[in-house]
Amino acid sequence: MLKITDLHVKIIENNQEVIKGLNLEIPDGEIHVIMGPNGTGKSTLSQTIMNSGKYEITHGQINFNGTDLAKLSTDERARLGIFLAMQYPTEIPGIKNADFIRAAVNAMRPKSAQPTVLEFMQSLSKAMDILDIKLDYTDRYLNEGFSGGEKKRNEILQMMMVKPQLAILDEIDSGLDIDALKVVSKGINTMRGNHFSSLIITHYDRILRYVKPDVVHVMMDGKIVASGGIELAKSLEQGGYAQLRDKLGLNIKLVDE
Amino acid sequence: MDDDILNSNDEYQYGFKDDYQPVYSTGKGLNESIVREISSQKHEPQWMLDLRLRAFKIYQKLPMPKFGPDLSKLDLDNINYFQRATDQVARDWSDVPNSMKQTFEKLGVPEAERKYLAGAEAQYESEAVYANLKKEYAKLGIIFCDTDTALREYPELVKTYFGKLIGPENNKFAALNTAVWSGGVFLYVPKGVHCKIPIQSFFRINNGSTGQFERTILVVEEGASVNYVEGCTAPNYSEDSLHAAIVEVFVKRDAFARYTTIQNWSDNVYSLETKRASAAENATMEWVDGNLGSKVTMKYPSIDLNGPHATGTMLSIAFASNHIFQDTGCIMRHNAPFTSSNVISKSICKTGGICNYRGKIRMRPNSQGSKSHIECDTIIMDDQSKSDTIPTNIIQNGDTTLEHEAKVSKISETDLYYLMSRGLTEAEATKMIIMGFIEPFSKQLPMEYAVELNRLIDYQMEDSVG
Amino acid sequence: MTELTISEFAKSHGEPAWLVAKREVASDIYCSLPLSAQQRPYQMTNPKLTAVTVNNDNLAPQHLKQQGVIMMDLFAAAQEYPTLIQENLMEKTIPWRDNALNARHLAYLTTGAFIFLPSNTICNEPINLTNFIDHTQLEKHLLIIAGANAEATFTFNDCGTTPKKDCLMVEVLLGDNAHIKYFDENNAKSEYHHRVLNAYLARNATLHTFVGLFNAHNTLYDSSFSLDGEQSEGYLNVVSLGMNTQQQNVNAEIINHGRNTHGEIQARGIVAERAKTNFHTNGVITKNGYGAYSDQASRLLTLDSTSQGQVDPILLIDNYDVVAGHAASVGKVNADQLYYLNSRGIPLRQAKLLLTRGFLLPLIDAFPNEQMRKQMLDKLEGRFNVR
Repeated sequence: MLKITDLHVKIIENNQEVIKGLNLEIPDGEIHVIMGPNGTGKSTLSQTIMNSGKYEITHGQINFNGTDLAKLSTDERARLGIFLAMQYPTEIPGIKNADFIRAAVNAMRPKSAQPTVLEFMQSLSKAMDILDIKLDYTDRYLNEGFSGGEKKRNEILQMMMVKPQLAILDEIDSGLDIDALKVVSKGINTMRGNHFSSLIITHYDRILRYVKPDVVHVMMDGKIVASGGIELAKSLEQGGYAQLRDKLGLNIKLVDE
Repeated sequence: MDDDILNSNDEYQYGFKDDYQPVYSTGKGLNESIVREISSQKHEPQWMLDLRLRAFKIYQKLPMPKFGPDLSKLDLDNINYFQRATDQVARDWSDVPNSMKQTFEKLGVPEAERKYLAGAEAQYESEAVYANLKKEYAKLGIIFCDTDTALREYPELVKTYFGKLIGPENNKFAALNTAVWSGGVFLYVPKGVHCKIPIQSFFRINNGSTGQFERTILVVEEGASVNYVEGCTAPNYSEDSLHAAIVEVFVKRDAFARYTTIQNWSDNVYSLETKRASAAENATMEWVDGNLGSKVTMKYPSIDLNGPHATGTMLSIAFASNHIFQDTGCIMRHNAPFTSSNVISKSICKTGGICNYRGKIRMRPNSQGSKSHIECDTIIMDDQSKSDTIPTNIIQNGDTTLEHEAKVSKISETDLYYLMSRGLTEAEATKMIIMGFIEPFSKQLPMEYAVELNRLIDYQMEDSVG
Repeated sequence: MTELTISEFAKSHGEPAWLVAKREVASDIYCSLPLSAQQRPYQMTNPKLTAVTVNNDNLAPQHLKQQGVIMMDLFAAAQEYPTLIQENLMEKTIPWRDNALNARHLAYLTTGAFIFLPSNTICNEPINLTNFIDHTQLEKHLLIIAGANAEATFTFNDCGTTPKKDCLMVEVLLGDNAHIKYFDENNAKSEYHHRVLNAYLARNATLHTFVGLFNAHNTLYDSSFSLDGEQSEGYLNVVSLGMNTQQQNVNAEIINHGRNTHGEIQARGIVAERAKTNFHTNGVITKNGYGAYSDQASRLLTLDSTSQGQVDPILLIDNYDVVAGHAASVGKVNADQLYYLNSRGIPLRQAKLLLTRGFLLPLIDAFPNEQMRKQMLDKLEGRFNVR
């Protein structure tokens, strides 16, 4: 499970503190959601867990299944079982999707447990089926020329193939039309189980109609300011972040105000 | 072309006229006794005479540049290497060619300014403005005077910097300049001093020395900043066929310097200038360089990025019309880790003009983490004009990043069509596109220069499209 | 084997007198012709000639022979088709007087092939030219002439076996509306390998060349296309792998002479381990090149700080009605891409290898032959020695 204690994070480029004392615990088998207004540090949190190199932890700890992540590189964290579906997946011309996913799947397992090419292709096409992804996809270059929706589906496809213990989904729902949203949600739901947990980062409660969360957190100004059940998300959708902030008596300026 | 080459400067030159016999003249051509005479007339210290003599020997040995424009018509034996007038007698206005007068007329250059630009007026702006500025500068400890004066009044300071970036070995015309230099600007900005308003060269002009072989030195001490502007955008009329100046800029740790030049000599001038700057740790050096006039320009300002995190910028435009040959570019030497350079070059050629970009970026072995970005864009407006883009990018450390892009084309017909569909005439639309093209340059100029540049481009465009 | 003079050598397989005379002149003057600093290491000294056997048959496959295709030993062709060879051999695309290397090549040429496609010949299958020349020889030559409307794809897998220096020169002449693709995988074993591919294109002709410089030693690759005919199109592609202190010099040039011609140069190189790769690319549009398009993209991927290189993308433009451009970049693997791969658990070394493969793949993938593609990728992986 993931445990974050009193986390402070700054952006290396401009030295600005973005996460300011965040605590979060996600037990195995649970799906958590973090909602929050723009510029509140949600993506910073996901990138920090994955160690993107653009942020620095100035205080606090991130623990995954009892291991302190501080000294681990990005790929080591991934091999511990953490997966990040990125908000803006990178385009890499020259690397074919199928080759890439196979490399990722193999990276997670010892040689003896790696699927053969045939097994791999079979499970890939099964996952592609669930996500309604076109056949020519495997030979296309990684995310190159993909539409926003295609990129998001590709992230979920990778998640299904890699089978992580913790999947962080950073705005997986943004830019998706209703059909794509359903398909993506279907993918996430196939992963549900006792050994899979997920952290969904989103602005809206739209995706929560299809993926039922165990806990909803609200993040503002670099901290979790409220946690609760699905009803918290519903009330946000009606009243907005400003209302919640005022109710909680917080002195925070929202970016879009 | 390893090192920079030459070109002259826009300072005005006013102390003599056609039929006027200066009190001291070294006569035409150059020999060792002329070099000695120049030095002794100015009562220079021994080291300067030694340097001049050494430079003269090198000048005799060095070949003419083997690249770029044809310099074979440049008669180096038919040049007055030194003259000093005893008083401020100006060239007679009636000696100024009619074509030049018409140009001033067309450009709407104010009367007083016209005479100054034509060398028929020694002073421009008021002495009072300059006096005020002088007081202001003195309060801050800024030294701002011509280089001859500086050599007399601050000999040690001048000795510390003179020729330290550009030695006579650099190229033939640098050697020539070192042997026979006169005039130019000496600007010293002490530690931590921020000079808020741009320092402009023409406020300096009040005593006569020839501008042909100017020697300019800027020293910006630690943490200080200065924005220096020389030249003006209206054409400078000169009878001298060769201008070969040297500019050396020393930007110390954490300091900032911007050096803006608009070169707009009349079309009989070979402008062969050598400019070089050094930037220490965390320092920023910017060349903003516009080349609009002369017959032939060869100028490749360079920056030595000597300290970690030093930044160098070169922002230039070249406009070549009516068979003008602009051979310009820049050199960036990344000599330390985490340095960065940025080059933007915009060229326009028309009616037989030639614009060449010639540049060199060198990432030295210890330049790890350094970055360079180069962009060269050219518009060729008609089938008499041409353009070459000749970059050299040398990478001696693989842990660096370099990006180079260039584009050459005519004015986009789609753009033209779009603007004309909104009711603009072809001439208006063309001019608007050209102004947009050089906008990255013009927006960096002080207001009055930007306005003048606009007027000038207007004028240059008029005779092609109209 | 006995050492022969040029004339003895030539006579031993019945070369025509004009060729012998030309070779002798070339031999007399090559030392006085220009030789740049870059070319100097590739100059061969003490040429020794020994007799070679010449097969006089047309070696083209039966179905092509029926269409009039000629594929034969260059020396045999010089006897059989003297006019064609005399007019074209080192005259139109690789002028023998241009520099010392060219002249020496002609003087001491010991193996070569002549490929001729008559007008309207369409070859559907790729033609492998590898075995038409003797790879143990030092100066090797391919002369390819495609008549009007001819279409063909050639592959060549150089496996020069000489230890010190060797040279292969390829000339491609395209008639009106001829369409040729030429794929070349360089595996030369020599310490200094010189390779030239020059082409002349008539009206509406198109030429695509792809060369993979995967050899482990110093290489000088020169390629120049002359887009002479209106609307001709040339695409010049180079992939290089520079490791372990080797030096690679690539000089690629496309000259747009004709109206509405289209030229693209693409060069991609990997450098590591104190290797040095220079991409010197030239886009030239001459006075008559109205409507010409000229584009160059040179990219060097440096894998470590000891990698060195130079990219000089040059444009020489003498016409205004053109679109010309170049982009050059040098740098390490993209940090965002590396992070993305790392975030999927792929370790650093493997991620770098994947990105390096990805960098070359678009050009390697163009090769029509699976075996060549695989060989090149295997070479990359085999020589990839980055942590």
